[in-house]
Amino acid sequence: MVEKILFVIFAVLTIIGGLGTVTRRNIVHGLLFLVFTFLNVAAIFFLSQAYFLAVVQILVYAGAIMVLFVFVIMFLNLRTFQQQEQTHRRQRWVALGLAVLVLVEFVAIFAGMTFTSARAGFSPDMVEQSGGFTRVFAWSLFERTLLPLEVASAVLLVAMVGAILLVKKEKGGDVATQAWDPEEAPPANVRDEEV
Amino acid sequence: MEGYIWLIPVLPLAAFVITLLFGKWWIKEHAHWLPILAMAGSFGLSLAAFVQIRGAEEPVVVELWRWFSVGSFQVPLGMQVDQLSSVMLLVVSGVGLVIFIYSKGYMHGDTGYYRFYAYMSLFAFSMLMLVLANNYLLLYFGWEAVGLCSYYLIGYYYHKPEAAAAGKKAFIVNRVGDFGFGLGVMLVFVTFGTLDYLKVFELAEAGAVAETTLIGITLLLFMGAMGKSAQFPLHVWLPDAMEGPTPVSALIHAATMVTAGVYMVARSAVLFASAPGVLLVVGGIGTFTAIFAAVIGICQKDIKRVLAYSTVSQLGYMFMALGVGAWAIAIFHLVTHAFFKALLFLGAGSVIHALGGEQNMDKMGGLRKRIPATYYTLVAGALALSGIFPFAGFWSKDDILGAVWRDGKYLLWAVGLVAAFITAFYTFRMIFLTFFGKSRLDEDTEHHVHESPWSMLVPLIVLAVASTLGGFLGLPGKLGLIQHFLEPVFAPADHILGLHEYSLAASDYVLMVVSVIVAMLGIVLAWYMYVRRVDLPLKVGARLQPAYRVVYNKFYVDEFYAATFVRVAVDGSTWVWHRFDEAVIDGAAHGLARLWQVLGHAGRRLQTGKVQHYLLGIFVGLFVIVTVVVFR
Amino acid sequence: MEPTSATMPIPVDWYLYLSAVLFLIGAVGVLTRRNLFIILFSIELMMNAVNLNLVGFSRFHEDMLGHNFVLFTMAIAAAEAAVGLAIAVALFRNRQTLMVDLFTRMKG
Repeated sequence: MVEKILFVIFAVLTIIGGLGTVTRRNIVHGLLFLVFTFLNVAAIFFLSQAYFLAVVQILVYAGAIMVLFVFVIMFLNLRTFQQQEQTHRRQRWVALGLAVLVLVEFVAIFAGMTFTSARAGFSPDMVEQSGGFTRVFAWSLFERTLLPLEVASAVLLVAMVGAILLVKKEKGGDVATQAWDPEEAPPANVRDEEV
Repeated sequence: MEGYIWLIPVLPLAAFVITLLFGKWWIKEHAHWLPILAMAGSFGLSLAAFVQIRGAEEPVVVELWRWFSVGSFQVPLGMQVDQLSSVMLLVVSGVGLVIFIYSKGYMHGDTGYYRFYAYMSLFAFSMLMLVLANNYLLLYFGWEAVGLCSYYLIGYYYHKPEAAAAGKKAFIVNRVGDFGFGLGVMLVFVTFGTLDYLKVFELAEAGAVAETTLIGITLLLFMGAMGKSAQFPLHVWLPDAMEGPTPVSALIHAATMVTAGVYMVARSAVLFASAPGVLLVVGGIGTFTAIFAAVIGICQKDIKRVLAYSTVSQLGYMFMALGVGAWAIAIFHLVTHAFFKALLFLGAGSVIHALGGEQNMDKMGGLRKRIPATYYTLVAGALALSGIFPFAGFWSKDDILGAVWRDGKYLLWAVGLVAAFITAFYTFRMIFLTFFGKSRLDEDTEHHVHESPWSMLVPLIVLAVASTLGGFLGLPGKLGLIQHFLEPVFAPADHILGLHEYSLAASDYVLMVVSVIVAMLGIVLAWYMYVRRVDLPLKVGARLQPAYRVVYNKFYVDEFYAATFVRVAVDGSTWVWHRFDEAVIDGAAHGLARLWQVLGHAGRRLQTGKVQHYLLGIFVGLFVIVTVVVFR
Repeated sequence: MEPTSATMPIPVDWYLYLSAVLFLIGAVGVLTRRNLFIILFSIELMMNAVNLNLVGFSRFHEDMLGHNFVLFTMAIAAAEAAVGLAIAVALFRNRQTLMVDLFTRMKG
């Protein structure tokens, strides 16, 4: 019962965080809301017996990745964009309406389904026999999803190299700068096209 | 002879290819040498062939290779030399050689010099092929090829709209005749199962074919002859063809190509002789054309057009001869006509050359003393054309009239005699207007008058001699060399018609005297009107105003064609153009293009280039899929 | 061990509702915001929604595979963040803006 109450509380907080993320004008505020959302998700992970993932969520996701974001945002000094229009004028209503419709559909689907399972979560006995949650997690990871794991590591490596290449400045100027005609670059305060 | 026959047409062909390929940048003003040499070679070989074929009973046939064979349809590329084709070979290559030489002086300095010689060589090749062919399809090839060259050469001054139009006209009018000719050739194949002359004639002689079929074949073939040889009502192209350079007029539109129709009818003598009634049509049309063109010739002002109508008229005489079965005499007249008509054209060309391009006889006169060599040769040609003893035209034309008389076609004879009178009249009208009286030259040309160079005068003299003495080749009756020479070829046809060799009777001499007197009268009348009483032509013209106008406008034949056939074709084509081509075909094409354009414009709106628009599309898709899958 | 519904305190469809809401919030963010960074944030939100589902069902089925996949999702999220940020930096350098609707070079 306590778990249910906590789940509801954290779910509400998660949703508030999500809403805050997408509505903020200031990017840094949005980022902080995002971190807040992640923390709440991590809490739900705890409630769902996913202890290892909860820790990873906090350490890697809310920690490392978000710090990267913060770093870049600070690096680029994006304050100027706060004065500009933040959303697509017409599309936002379409998107919002569609989102509500899809949500209604989802709810209708979920309400019509009954979930039955032979099991009811990881029992403490079983976990103890197996030597702890993390051990079970690792066993599953390396036993059953070894190939996807290796692929994921390769993807990470490629992403790292790609990221370095993208931001690297070539000798004698930026490659991308040469490709884009600087004359054509619109000033930052250009009035946005009607969307 | 079998060994070198093929060289006769191939020499000019080689000259054509080389001149056309290298003429513009390399040979240039030396373009005349190769064609002249080739022509001389052809002439020499033709002479050799002539000597060898003399007295031979059977024609020499050389099949070089099989052109094509489809089922039972075999067409060899074969050449046949008999007396008829050897005579034609001599005329074509001989007159051709003379005119080639003449052209060196006449065409000198023209920008298209090499082009002229190239096409002249191509023409010589085509004409020789036409003459040498041993079957109807090869004849047809030569027939069309000479028409093509005629088109090229009439339109030689293509920057002149009249010349281009005249070329087109010649080509299109000839198409009408060639259409019939082509059908005739097909009918020959359907009927006889072969196109080979010898086999066809053999079968026809044996009477293996129904008369009605033969009538159809010969009428269709004659239709082709009418087109090529400019017989009424397909004569309209020939006078306009005078837009071409004068040597072209001389060679193609007087001496050789236009006689192809005569040659073809003579070649098919057996067929024509076997088809009753058709000969009468041939003779009738020939006679009518003879007088019809002669009458028009009276009123022409352009020196070359006078000669053009006289050509039409003389071709009419040849068909008149063919119409009474006087094949050899028709060929004889063809030969003499080639001489004196080439001479007249070249002489007229010399006059035009002397006057710097002036062709209107109203602006000539008094040239007798100033270009004497041209004058004397031209008079020789005019006497020959008029039929004055002993010039060539006298013998051949008188032979024709005599043959018509003997055949009992007295009406044709009378008309022919009148035409002879008119011929003499307009011929000497031309001579008197050009060389006698006061000078009516323009100021500019007055100082420009000069005698032509030797390269032009020598051919004139050669042809003048031929025109003077050529008639003795074909003395009437048993004395006729050319008639005897051609006998092996025409014997079967004569046999069918029941014609025999005849002896000269007293009536023949009377006829000769009559025709000479008539011709003399024509000359005297011309002299009276154009030298003695220069005011008379205007008075007569004014008195006979309506008739004069009709004749001057060539009996409105061109206008009639323009109002009927041409108009129907043009209007019909215009209708199809607007209603079908533009509305339906173009409409469909443009409509399709327009459809995709509209769709493209509509689709273009979707491509805003903004990623989020595309994402919205994905999202809409998600919604639709969920809706369809779940709430179906 | 005995399967009883009493040992399953949180119903699995709650996870579904939560993740659906979170996912759609992220989707709306991606579709409507012009700022490239907010869009990246929204993508992270959508990924977390998926993660929630995976964890919930992993428990429901007593199967660790769901947990494993969450780890992979995080790895991909990290890669995406790195590349996305690099692209953001490159774009900003060249165009001095991060409003994605201004990048319409390929407009038809």
